Amino acid sequence: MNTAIASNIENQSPIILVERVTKSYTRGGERILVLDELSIEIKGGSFIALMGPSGSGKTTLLNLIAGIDRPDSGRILVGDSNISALSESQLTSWRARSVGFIFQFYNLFPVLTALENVALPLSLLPMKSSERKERAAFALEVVGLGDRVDHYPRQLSGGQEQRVAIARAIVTDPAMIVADEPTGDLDRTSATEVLSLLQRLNKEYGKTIIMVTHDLVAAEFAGHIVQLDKGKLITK
Amino acid sequence: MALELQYNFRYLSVRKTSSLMTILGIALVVMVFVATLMLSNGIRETLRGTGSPKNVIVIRNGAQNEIQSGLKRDDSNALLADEAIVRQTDGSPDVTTDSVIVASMRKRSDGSPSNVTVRGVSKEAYSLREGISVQNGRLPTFGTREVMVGTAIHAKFAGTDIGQSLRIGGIDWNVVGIFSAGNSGFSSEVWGDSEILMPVFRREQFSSLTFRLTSPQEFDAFKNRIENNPRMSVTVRRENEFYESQSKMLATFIAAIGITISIFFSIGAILGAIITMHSAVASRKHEIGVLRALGFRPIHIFRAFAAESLMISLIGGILGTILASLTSFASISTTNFDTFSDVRFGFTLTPAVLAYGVLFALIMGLIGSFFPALSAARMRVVEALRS
Amino acid sequence: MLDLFRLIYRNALRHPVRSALTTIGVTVALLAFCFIHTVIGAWMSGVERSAKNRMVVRNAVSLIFYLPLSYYDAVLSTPGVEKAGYGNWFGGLFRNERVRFQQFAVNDAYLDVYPELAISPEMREKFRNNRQAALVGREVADKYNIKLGERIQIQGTIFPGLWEFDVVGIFPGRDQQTDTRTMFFRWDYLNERNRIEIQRQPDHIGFFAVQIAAGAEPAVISKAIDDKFANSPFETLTETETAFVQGFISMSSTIITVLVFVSYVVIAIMLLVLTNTMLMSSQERLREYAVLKSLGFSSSRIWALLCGEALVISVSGFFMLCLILAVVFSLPPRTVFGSLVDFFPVFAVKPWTVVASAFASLVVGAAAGGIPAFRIARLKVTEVLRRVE
Repeated sequence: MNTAIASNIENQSPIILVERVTKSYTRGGERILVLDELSIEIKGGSFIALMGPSGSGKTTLLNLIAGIDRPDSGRILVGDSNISALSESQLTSWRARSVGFIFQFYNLFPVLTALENVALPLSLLPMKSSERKERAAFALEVVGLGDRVDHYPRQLSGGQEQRVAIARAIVTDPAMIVADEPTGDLDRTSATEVLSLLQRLNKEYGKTIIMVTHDLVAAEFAGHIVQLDKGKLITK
Repeated sequence: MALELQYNFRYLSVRKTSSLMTILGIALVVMVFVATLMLSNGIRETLRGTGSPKNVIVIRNGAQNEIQSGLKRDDSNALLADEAIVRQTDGSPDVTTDSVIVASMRKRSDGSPSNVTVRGVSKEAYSLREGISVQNGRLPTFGTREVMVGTAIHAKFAGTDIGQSLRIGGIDWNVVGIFSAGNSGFSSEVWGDSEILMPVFRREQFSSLTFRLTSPQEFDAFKNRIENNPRMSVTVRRENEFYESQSKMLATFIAAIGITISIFFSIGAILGAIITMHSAVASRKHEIGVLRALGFRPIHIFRAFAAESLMISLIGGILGTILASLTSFASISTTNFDTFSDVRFGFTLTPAVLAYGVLFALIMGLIGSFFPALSAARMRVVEALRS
Repeated sequence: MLDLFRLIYRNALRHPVRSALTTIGVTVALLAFCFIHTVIGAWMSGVERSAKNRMVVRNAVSLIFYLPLSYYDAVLSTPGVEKAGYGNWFGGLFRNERVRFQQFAVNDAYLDVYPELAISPEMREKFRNNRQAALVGREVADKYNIKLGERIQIQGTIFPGLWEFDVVGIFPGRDQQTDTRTMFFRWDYLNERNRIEIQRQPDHIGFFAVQIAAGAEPAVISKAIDDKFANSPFETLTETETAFVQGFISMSSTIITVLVFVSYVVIAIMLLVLTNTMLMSSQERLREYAVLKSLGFSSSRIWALLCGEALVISVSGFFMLCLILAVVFSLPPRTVFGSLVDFFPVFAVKPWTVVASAFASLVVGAAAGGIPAFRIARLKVTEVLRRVE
């Protein structure tokens, strides 16, 4: 199983190209422009922190790159895929293979054990049940929770839950991991655990990580900080 | 109280789809319940409405219906000599000597056969049976092979338009009129001249005699006199009671099925209410806690949830009753087990039925919400706030 | 696949009270459905019991008119006719009750046309030797506690007067489906008294029952017989027993149609209740479905999950139905259905009804997942995930 993840180091993590992307929402009848012709290039293997005041569009940009939303105009290229041109079902399959998600609120399924939660994305890929279990167990080892495989989310602390979510995010061996305020709900110690783990994944396994945060301390763990304000980039 | 209602209404509109489904479910249940009530009413009307308490009918003893009955002419004449019977100006008894058979006719819908009562009457029948009115055409002329058909027969069976002829017993009978007898069973019959019908069907005996007594109080004495007469073996009944007993089997059968189905549906309605209210309580635990912390007492919580359930049930009940009331334009025409011929029942809508329908819905809603509302009221404040 | 099933199964149990109540709802609905179709089936059972090689000859004008006895020879000699008998429907009162078993006055040959009655040769012998003999069906004997050798009295209605019979045999019928709610006595006994006392068309019979030869064409035989008596004062109508019984059924076709309609309403209500529960469950877990979508679960996969959950409930409801039916089967029909049993000669829950219920629970389960799945498919993942903050 080591080889499955290790082999990725040999592959180049793809470059993410966002070209002149615009996105707006309608709220209560009013049209609000969230991203305004934004362009950004993210090199493979980087750990980026997206920061900015509330309403700056950082979460929106994250969602667009992760393929769970579509831009109104512009292009987004992840590696060779123009994900802004894919159909809904193609996008769904692409996500299954290429993206790992970590949300602020852990979003684990309370009725499944840690192992089952981590194995869930693997149900979308053809493989034997035993292989799924092995890969899930390995992912949990990587995040340091190998001894908690049979625990239910209610039996885990906040930080542990988030680490299970990270294990789930990496189990399909995606090229890119996106995290939306992953430490927003954690105490300082747990937050550090989680962020160190992300750092390790980036440095040791070469995963591209894009993290949205408003916490400057969390942002320090990243390689680069990108600032947004009112839908436009401020720094790079 | 107003706050509670506001609170309830807001929640109903927030969970639109779910509320709609519950309302629809209750509406369907109420619809079937009310339609069953309406049919019962309709059957009762037909049963009671056929024949009049003023008229007396005589059939042969032991016969269960007019078809099985046979009265010889001499015996009939002897009976009709009784003084208690109303006479016409010329001294002859005011009586209709009916001859009733059952004939096979083909339905308009699919041509399949069904049995229809064909009744030969005397001219006195039209004055004795007051509810008869000609809707189209005219009365058949006595002494001819003309007939008129009841509205229910005209609607269901082929060959019954005015100008057409019905082939019964190898003879063509000309349809000259369509008559209505209201909701009574006579609307499901074909009427012609008794004296013409009898020889064609090789009958020498009347099926029944229908007449009036000079005074209604005479009935019991008259009945005694005639039934105990050793020379003839007959049964004397009031006309309306007689026809009412004719449909007992069918009415009982429909009632048995109707009640069973209603019981199932009631259970279903209550279950639906319980499920909805239970989920409502479960999803609003926190708010219940807040309300209690603010000072609302358990009884307020109970009333709020009961009221919400009642609101849903009321809307569903009204909707279901409206849907059911549409059946009043319909009728069921089927074979009466007793007389072996077709009879039509309508669905009768009365204010009482409307009230029952809505009441039924409200009761279901109340019963269904009882335990969930109770559990909501008995919630410990601290636990509720924790969710 | 099994992993997903685990998710489905545990989700269904998350709200045990609600799931249990919904399951009971499904069971109640299926019970109502089975009840209605059992009633309909009882009505139609006559068709199933009718034999393909039997035909009925009766007066073409009306069921209540008779045919002359003299027609018998002509009927017997018709090519293709193997056996024939005749009879009259008696319709009397037993123990002063509006009785619900049929009484027929028949000739000896009639009993040959109905072998499924399982009338033994001994019974036939006794029937032939006693003019007042009566053969009573097993169900009649059981219901009214009639013993072999008993003398019973029947009050005539069409043929008025008190009639006495000696019960010389109680016939069991070949199987459950055979109608043993009948009684047969001798036609010559009826006719003689009719001729002397009652004078209601003596020497006339109500119908002929005919067994046709194997391979004979019913249409040919009916034409042959009816042609013989066409334009006579007593025209005949000859039809297969199946057509004859169906004629009776079609007389009540309206009620059957209404019952079928109500059974569909029952299924519709079941669908509503199950869909409502699924809507509520999925609403509570909206975030989880958003996560599944973000993980790459397609709409059809999520639909499958929801259907799976709905099916867990509906199939459980079906199993509960089977349990209840097992209990029902072990009880006598009268205990369960009460007086309704009297209206039909055969009243039992058929296997087909159970199969139809299984099918209904599968279809409703699959459909109930539909609306919630549709809602979730239209949901924007980003909207849902944003909401909590």
